[in-house]
Amino acid sequence: MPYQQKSNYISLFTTIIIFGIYYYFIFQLYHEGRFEGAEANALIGKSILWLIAGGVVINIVAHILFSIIFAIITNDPKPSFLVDERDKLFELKALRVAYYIIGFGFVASMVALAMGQSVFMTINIVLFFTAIAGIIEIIMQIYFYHRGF
Amino acid sequence: MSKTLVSNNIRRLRFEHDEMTQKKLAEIVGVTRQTIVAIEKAKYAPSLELAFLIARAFNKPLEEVFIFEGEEANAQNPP
Repeated sequence: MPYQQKSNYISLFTTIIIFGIYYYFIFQLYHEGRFEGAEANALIGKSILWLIAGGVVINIVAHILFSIIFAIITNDPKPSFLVDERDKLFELKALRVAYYIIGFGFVASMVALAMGQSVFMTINIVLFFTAIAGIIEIIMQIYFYHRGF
Repeated sequence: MSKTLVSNNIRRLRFEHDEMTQKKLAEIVGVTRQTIVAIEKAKYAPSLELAFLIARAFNKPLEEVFIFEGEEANAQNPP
């Protein structure tokens, strides 16, 4: 199994962990009533910035660790991290599906906003569909690799 | 499992070139071994650039390595 194929499992794991941690804290803050009142919008912004920063750090650390472990397991002094045209094709096909899901999520969030839902709810609908899109994108890539084309 | 309309003689050509391994061919043309496997089984049609690189690896013209199956079908059943 090449590096690119294995790294999909790491990406799937990190995506679930990142959004899992995010929603764990968000629901805690929500039940404490922190998303109501004048400070609510600022807290939403801060939460999302933490999600982005945390996501980047967790992804980088996980992939660095994985690269080291991959090099040790393969016992290859020059392990191949090659990404070829077929890998890129799989990425593009999966990305197209993710794009549709995010688009649908955006429309769903606008419907929620039009129906009088809060900004907190609207933004979290977008984020939820972004998380689902990210997970589906990786699962599709895993599926393409197993299918072989 | 669906196949592309582009078949090939890569397996035979590898055999004729001192039983060149799929890994070796992959290294020569700069792709993963899995991509060579997919091309060889006609599950994946390579880009024109990769097709030329594979043909060059065997010192053969492109049409001796890759065959467009649709052409044969068209010849047998002209419009």
